[in-house]
Amino acid sequence: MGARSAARAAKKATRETKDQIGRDLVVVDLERAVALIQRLKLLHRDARWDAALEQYQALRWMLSAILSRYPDWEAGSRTQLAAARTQVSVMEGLIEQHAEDDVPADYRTRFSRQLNETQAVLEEMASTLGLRSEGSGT
Amino acid sequence: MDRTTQILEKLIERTQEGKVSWHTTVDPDGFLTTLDTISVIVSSNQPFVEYRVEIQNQDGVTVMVKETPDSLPAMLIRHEDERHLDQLLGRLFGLARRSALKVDSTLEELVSHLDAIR
Repeated sequence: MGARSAARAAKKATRETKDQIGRDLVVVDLERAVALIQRLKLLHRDARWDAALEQYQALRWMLSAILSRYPDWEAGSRTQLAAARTQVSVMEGLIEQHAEDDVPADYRTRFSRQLNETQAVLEEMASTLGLRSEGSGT
Repeated sequence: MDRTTQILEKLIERTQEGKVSWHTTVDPDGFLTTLDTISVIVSSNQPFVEYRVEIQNQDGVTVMVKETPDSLPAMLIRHEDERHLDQLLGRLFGLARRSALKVDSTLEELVSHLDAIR
């Protein structure tokens, strides 16, 4: 192997390692977001809306951080994550509107459904990225 | 033409063409579309507002909000340009709702079910 092709191979290996570390970090972030959603479900159950609002804000920031930290992530997943973040902001807005006189039961049902959907999306993303990392041979 | 009018007209056009699709939100009167990482939410029935459009940037921060008033006196004193925007916003809300609730495909399916009944 010539010096030039050795350098090319080394560059490729560096890029692959960097990509894999990036994927692993996204998986960790996605799992943290899922944990936050689990916490939100408990706060909903106990009707602790003030605390829930803080956690919703944290979740929204976390999803924004994932998006800005990994700009090279595939477009479809980024759009899905941005849509999930917007759903979070819609829930925040509705809780702010209703927190004083308690959130109506039909909204609670909608929130739970949305949180489950968002959780499923994040878990699927984490699982796909995790499998890809495993498949890259490390 | 101002930027807001341009955006609303393009959203209407692309939605009519089926190139922009909308989704329901936890708010039964709110619908969402996301293009790359920019989100647009159209909603109705908020206090003192008939229709509302909100645009969130790549960081999830709200960068634009337009609302149409829900009371007749407030509507009457609006400038002609604002009334045009109100009309566009009402139209976009209707189209977003149809897209998110899959109204057209549901009705088509219903017709084919009815046709199948002999």
